[in-house]
Amino acid sequence: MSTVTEKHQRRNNSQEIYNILKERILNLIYKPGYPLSAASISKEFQISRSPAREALLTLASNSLVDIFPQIGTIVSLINLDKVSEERFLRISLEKRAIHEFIKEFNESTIVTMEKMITLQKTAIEENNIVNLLFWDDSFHRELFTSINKPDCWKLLNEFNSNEYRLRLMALSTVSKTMKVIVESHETFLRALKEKNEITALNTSYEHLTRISGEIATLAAKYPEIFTCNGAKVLKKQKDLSSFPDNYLFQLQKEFQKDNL
Amino acid sequence: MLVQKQTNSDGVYEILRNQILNLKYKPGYPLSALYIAEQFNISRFPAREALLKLAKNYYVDIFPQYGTRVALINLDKIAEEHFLRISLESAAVQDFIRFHHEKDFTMMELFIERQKEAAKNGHTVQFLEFDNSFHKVIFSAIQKPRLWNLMLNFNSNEYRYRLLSLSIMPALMQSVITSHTQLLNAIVSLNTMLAITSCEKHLADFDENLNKLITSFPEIFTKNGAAYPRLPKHTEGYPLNFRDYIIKKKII
Repeated sequence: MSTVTEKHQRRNNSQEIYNILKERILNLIYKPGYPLSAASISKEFQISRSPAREALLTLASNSLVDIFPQIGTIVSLINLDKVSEERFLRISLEKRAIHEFIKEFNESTIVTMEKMITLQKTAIEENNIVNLLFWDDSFHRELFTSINKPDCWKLLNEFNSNEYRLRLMALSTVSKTMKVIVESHETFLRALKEKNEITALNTSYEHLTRISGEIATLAAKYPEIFTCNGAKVLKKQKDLSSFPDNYLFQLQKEFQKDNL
Repeated sequence: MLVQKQTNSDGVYEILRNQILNLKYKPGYPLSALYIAEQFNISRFPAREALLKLAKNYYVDIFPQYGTRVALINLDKIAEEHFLRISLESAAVQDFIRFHHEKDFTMMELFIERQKEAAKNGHTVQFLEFDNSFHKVIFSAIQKPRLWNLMLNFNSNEYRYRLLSLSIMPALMQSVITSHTQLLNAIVSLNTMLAITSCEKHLADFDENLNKLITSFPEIFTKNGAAYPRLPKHTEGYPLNFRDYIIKKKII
């Protein structure tokens, strides 16, 4: 029986490993479909199987990996039906948040949101898509914080693994969308300042559904990373060489090449 | 080996979660791994695992020196839970009106009838179960079951508050039945505006009791950032079953 300290450490270990793996999955470092085993995690992080398995189970409970009984564990494919659900949640919550915000808000929130738009512009100049998405999310988070609904935001942030990766795909492989994000935010913020609820709602809706048009193109170009509810389960991917060390990086390289 | 332990602590987790939600344990009750191990005849390790999972989902609070307590009913979190519910439900109802089946309406009518029976027999927990089933039909019909599950896991404060209200004022069950009937009628007549208004009204069904409950049981409520109240440290300071206790005490 391990000591209390060892058990405590093991819990911390598994939590840290979970956080690292979660980031790699969300930021498409791992290509969707990548086989992730407790053995490989143990090896990489130099920990025993138990915390490695715990981390995998937590990832599964948050829909970041899928455990198939005969096949093993794979990084979840981007499920378009789940994207639909995640978007439904986001749009409904944001709609009500806009309504509450306009009823009473203070100037300091507007100032903070303006700062975040500036940070988005910087991220675009640096061509750092992950940072852009971070400041994009932060912009929206500010809305919820200011109406005293931080837990709702946390929920949104944890229930977006499919939608987030889809946005990242779209931004990395389709050129026009980055500037449009900033423009949308500026229009949105202006509407909030002027208490123009209808414009704010319309801008928000457009902004959150912007990439719908690109889904078909993406699914056609990268069919192996997408799925939907009820789709057939894959065969075991034994060939790890088809998975790059950093999928996002590979996508961006391909995209730059295509656009030279 | 690991799988078996998971099953043990998962099963115990589910039972404890239900007991906490159904107010067997008074909010603030000291829930220890030792007690759980004894009650469920399992070893300390899975008992502690179950406690940790309960803490992760905010059913209990772990205080390093103080011990583990069943979470108090947080009024700020009730507001957040309402916010989520009304946002999702207004949107769901709109989609439901556009894409519905007759059989969905029949199901919802059935659940209202079940609620009427439960109300007649004073079965508050059953009443709330049928309440959930009623609302769930909407989310299943628009094929968003994950969102329903999300709501189910994000309502531990407002669920307990509703159960508390019904336990001291059973007549409220009638108001809920009326609200459900109004909502269903609005949906059946494809009247989106009326349906949304009914949702908003329904959410306010339990508002009138809040002050009375806070006055009668100040020690079970809290708000974000509030100091933790001084509570009896040992289980002797708590009733065996909080819900039975408050029903017998007849507050009103």
